[in-house]
Amino acid sequence: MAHKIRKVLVANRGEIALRVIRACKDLGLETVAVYSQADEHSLHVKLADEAVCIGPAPSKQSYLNIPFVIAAAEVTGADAIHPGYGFLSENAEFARICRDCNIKFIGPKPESIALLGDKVSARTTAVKAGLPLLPGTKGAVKSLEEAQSEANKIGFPVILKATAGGGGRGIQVVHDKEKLASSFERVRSEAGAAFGNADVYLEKFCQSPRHVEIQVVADEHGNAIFLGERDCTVQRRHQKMIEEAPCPVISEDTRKKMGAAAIALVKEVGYWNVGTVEFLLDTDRKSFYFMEMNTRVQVEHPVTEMITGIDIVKLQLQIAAGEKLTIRQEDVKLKGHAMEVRINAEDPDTMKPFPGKIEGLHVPGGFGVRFDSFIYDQYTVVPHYDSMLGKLITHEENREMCIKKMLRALEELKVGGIKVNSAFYSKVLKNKKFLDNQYDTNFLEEFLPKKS
Amino acid sequence: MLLKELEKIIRIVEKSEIAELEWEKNKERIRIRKDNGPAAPMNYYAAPMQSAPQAREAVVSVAPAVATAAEAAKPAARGKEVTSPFVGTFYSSPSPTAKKYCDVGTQVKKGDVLCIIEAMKIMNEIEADFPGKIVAVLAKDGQPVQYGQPLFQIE
Repeated sequence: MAHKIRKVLVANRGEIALRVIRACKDLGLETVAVYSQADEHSLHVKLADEAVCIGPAPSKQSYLNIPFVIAAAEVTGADAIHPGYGFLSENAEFARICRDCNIKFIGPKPESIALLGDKVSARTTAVKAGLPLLPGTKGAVKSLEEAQSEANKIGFPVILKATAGGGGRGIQVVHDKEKLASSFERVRSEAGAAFGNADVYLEKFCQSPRHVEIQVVADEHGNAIFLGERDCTVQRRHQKMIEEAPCPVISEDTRKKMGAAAIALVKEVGYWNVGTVEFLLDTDRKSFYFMEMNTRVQVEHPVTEMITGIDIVKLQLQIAAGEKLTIRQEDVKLKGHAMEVRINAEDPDTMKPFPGKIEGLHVPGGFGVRFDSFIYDQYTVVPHYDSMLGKLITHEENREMCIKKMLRALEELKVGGIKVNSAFYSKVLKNKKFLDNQYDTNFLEEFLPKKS
Repeated sequence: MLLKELEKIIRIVEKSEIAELEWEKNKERIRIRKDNGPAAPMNYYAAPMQSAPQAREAVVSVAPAVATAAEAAKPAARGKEVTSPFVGTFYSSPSPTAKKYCDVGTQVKKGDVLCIIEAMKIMNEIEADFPGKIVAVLAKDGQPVQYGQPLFQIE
């Protein structure tokens, strides 16, 4: 390992702080944990070599408190900061401040974060790099004739959306060209009445979309590879719940095309360290469109690690230390199937958060079972942050066996004293649509608690 | 303190959730700290092993003489604690050669500067929120301090 990093401050909490501390220790790096007063008894605090309290419970005054995080690095002599995910991980200003203070930010350069963090500049850059975007009109459609010509160009079905719209209002899917004229008039008048603005734009409508993302890794010397893809279609209100790798419905050819697109974006931006390029996979399971790029390590990185055998967090640290990527694209082999579920402290039926003291804990194990979590027996789950306690991951030869193993692991997991959502996954994983790969981003709707 | 009283206190602390107890009366002080060390080694002849939270060892350190005991009390504190609102390095004087802002025995008014906490080259002056007499200085010059760390005790 190059001598450029010696002591890493982890500017995060919970399971990812633990994940980073473990990777640091595996590489012989010293570790510093920062914590809010509410996290005094958190596992990442106990496992780090040093720990600094940086504020009261509210994130704004602690984990998001840039001056205090930097001060903590100063007083402990940390020469690098790993931001984890969430919190300051995609804060270009924070990355800039680290650079100015001579602290190595473990991630891309601030300019990349700023460029890709803004939806508009990200899309412009993606277009420059030749990535496909969801076809649609850039602005409002001024007449029915224009709507018709654009819709013909894009191809039906299309979706009409009020530019000033929201809350599901002013939206109409049009399946055939005969219905376009009436739909166009109707949405315009609805928008005018509801939002005072009748402007409508047009987009390609994906009947049954899936969320497929590419894991990219680049060093600071211009080398970039991708580590396959992940399918994160099972989402609840845009929150990922189940992730798997590889994507069970794409061909090797599509995988190669998506990977090439992601690398093109990385090279266009001059991106380094790890990141994820998110795509929308259309109903034909071949066409894909750029959605956004996340300039950090993701929650679901373990499923990629399981099928590739590559430690992504370790790579982050090595890349930040200036090391060259020694893995070539042809070395990347995807083996078997992996799945991850997010274990939250919540009621499995109502999905309401359920913090409290853990009384009795049994963690699943065995070959191909991984539990990335910061909980321990007698630990009190605090209410101030998100309810995720950890991630349960399984890896097997194929998808069917992987699901069976996950069901077995979920049964083994026992968290006493509080409620966790493992029973929810047990239900979903037995669902025929899920087993047959016949699901899309709307899949979880039927599993949500009915609104009274 | 009579040995019997001390034994009573130790037993009470052992049974309770108290991790550290400090008792002071008339200049006599005792401190009892519980050491939740590693779980007891497997011993086939011993009673069944209890789970980690119950494995305990009371460590007793007795300083000068001891006070007369009553029931176990919360750690005796004189006055109010001033805790650090910043993360940084504690300095007791404005510069290495200057006089200290305050020391044990100093009477302070509300708004008086007590110390400096330095971070990122910014010297933050910590002011007294209330008047009183400094009875304890809990941080050392040049020591790194974290948020919430006790700095002074003011009566």
